[in-house]
Amino acid sequence: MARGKQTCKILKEIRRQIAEANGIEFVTSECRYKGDCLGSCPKCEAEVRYLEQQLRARSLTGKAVALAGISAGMILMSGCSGTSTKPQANNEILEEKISDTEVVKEIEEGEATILEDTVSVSHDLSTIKEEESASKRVIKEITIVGDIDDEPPMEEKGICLSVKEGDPASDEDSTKVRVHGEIRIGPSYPDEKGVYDRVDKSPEYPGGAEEMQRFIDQHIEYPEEQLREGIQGIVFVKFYVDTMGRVCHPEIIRSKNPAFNQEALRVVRLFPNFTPGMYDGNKVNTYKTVTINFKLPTDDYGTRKADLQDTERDTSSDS
Amino acid sequence: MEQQRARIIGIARHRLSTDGDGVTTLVAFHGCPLRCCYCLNPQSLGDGKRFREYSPEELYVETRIDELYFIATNGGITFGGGEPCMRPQFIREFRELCGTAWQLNLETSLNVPMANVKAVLPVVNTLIVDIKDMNPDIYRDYTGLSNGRVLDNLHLIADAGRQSDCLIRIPLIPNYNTESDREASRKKLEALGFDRFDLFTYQIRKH
Repeated sequence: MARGKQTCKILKEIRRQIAEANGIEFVTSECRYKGDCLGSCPKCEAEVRYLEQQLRARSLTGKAVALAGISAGMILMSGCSGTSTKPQANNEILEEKISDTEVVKEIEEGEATILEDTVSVSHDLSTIKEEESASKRVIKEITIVGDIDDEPPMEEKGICLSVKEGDPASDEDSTKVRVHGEIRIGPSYPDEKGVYDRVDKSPEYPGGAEEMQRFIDQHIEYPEEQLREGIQGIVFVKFYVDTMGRVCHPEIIRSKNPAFNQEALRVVRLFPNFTPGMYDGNKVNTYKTVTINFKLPTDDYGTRKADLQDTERDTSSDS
Repeated sequence: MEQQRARIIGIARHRLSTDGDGVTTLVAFHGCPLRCCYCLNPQSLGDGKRFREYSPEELYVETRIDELYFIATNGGITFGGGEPCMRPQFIREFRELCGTAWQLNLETSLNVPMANVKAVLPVVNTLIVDIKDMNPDIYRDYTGLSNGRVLDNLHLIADAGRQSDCLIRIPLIPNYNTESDREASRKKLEALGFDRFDLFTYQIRKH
């Protein structure tokens, strides 16, 4: 089994445990992604977003949210294996092995930066198969209700999969994913204010993110007291962009220092109109979050003061 | 206002049980003071434009996609490279953004000024230290630099009582050191109170 598929299985198990710990109906399916699996695909990501949405809903209704304490290591040990180079116990010396430190694939000039981690896991795969084979838990039947695309990007609309566990089957079947229920990743719906969180096309600042940053940099006024005392800050402002592209109801959702909040809100209110978000072919009200940085002037090396020696640029050109 | 920005050569998500039990994302910085013969990520060196610049906020927004996994499994970000300790301010700002729930780990050679290690030490959970060899001659032969700063920083970490947060990698470096050199390195490190070691052999790669 490819390493990506192993990662996929382990992440799926983590998601299942999160759902179970929080009483969330979780429903998954055999992954049908046909591209090179890096361990996550649009369907898997959609399941994460679904869980986040459910956890947020629980949190809003005052229910406790249980998150911490799931050990990927334990999942590995229990049969969904991958690579393991855990820190060793005191004074324990590992046997010699080929280095499995991380190799990062090169970034192509101007290309995206999500890269595959190329750590080899081949030494673990033989055990996986045995353990899985011994567990005899396999999927016998997959029922698909609704539409599902095989090719990404898959729009998670109206997908409803139900899967039944079957009898022990051949080794080949045993590599399939064990499932525990049903997931419904339905269409996106607006909240009580008529605003969407998940849309087909997000609202865009005219000219893009760089222009927005330029606008922020040009218009922000550093609060005098914080400037005098050398205090920096970061503020996250959430608002929605209506169907006319207007910025509506900005509010602070996270802030390092409340002294910066008013100025952050003031600048966001100055934003020109966005291109509205689109869902199902229509312009819709859509939430957006931006970060406003309050930074003191820096030197050419990007550090605030000379007390930290940021040496990257000193060395990056000498080879 | 100028933003703190760092060159990043790669981001690898969903690393499982590589640094502790959690799900981690590797963020590899561009730039390294060393020139190791068997460098795993030579693209971290030079000025080949094989990187993208990120602000801490941009990196936070991009890595936050896996926050659910991080929090559920006690995972987070591992900063590697390249040499992450060349960007202490960036890492400090990242910590302010991500809060305390994420684990932040460093994969470092510690061959940086003490001020850098002083700055990052309070905001990181684990340091994976590639010590090369404690013998100064072997070290210089293999990396091209003195290990004076490494020793200073090991003392700094020991003085802060953070030895147990360190995993020290002591490699067998083909053609550079021997098993007995490695044992000598380990003894010196144990004398400083470090007790978590990973002994392995460097793989020689053809670039």
